[in-house]
Amino acid sequence: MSMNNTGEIKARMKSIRQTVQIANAQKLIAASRIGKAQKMLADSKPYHDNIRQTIAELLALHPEVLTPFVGDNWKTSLRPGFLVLSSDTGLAGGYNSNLVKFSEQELTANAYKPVTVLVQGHLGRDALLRKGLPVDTTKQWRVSVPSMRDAGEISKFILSLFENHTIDGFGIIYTKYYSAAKLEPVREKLFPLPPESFGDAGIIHSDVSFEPSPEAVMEMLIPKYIKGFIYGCLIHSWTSELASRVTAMDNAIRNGREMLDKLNLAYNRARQAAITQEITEIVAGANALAE
Amino acid sequence: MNTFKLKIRTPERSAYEGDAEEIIFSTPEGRIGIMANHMPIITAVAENTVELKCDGVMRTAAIGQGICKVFRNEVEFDVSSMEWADEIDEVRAKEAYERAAIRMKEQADRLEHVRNQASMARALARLKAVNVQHL
Repeated sequence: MSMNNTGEIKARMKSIRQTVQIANAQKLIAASRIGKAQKMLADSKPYHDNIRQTIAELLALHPEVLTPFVGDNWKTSLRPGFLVLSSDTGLAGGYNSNLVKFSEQELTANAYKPVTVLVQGHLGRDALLRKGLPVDTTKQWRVSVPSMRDAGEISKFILSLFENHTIDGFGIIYTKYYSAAKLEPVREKLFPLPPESFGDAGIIHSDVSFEPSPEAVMEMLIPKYIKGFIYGCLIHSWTSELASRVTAMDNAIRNGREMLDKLNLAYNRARQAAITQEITEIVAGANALAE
Repeated sequence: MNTFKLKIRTPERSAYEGDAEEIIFSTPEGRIGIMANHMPIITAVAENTVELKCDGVMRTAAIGQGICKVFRNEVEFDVSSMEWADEIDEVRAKEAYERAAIRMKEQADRLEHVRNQASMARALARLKAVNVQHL
């Protein structure tokens, strides 16, 4: 740093201080939202677990029930659609770039080729478009606090693609939240799903009757399952974005403080140099007068 | 009076947990009532009102689609929504019903039609729950 001018250093310190303040505010906002998001995830768990378990029970008791959503694993002939959950706002470290890198790999390296890619969040959408993937730009879902309403809208659209035979399978790519230190982009299959993926049916009540019919109950359960699954992914992705932002802002704050320390030193040195010089000049002047 | 354990869960919250004497709700095939020691069934639940009797008092609520499981004197509902009659905003429900009715007349494609039917049923269930309470 070739800054000897105290005024210049002062101005720079002021601007860094402001940046640190912004980073701090961003961090606090993100941190306070994480707790709320995790509560939402916990609140919805009993409902979704029971939906999934009921599907397992139904499949165990009535393996003859046919649904296009449950079946063999993904074949090469599959024409899947994908949903990628990215974000609309930056200042979140490597959150989006990691996700985009992972998505590109997942969507190009496998035997099945995606026929359509839906993206939530414009950062991911723009990046994947540039990579030449079949991104559906007509669906521009915004990222906000996850709600069942959003999940419902997305799942309705996915089911309509399925109904008009555009797709015959579906996968979701999102950032899974394991802990604040472990966020990982993952690809999960939404359908078709192997029957085992619904988990253990537990104790089977073989005398249970399904009303009006096992098929009708299954038809009721599948959309609920899909909606719930998407809701879970939205919350995971939202929490990951927030956690990623907290880490990124923490780093920014630390770097900012380090820079302020260095500048403070430089400022004092420059101030001292200026004073020394002034004294030297005064002494020199006095000496000249005395002579 | 004999009671059974009742749980009503929605994706947002656990809406009810406790003992009940009787619950009446709609399935796609019509209304049914469940009392203590009912045989085990798993049934689809349609959007409509539910009447829940507990300590001799009948309460009304509107519930969304879902399923109901009855095992060993335990009844579990997993439904998309549940609101007690006094929690429902009647004006909003009325507006939603009218909106759906107008869209219904315009007759869009099949999927659109199914969606309209669903939102109409939702609004109607809420309106019914409010009105039952006022009777």
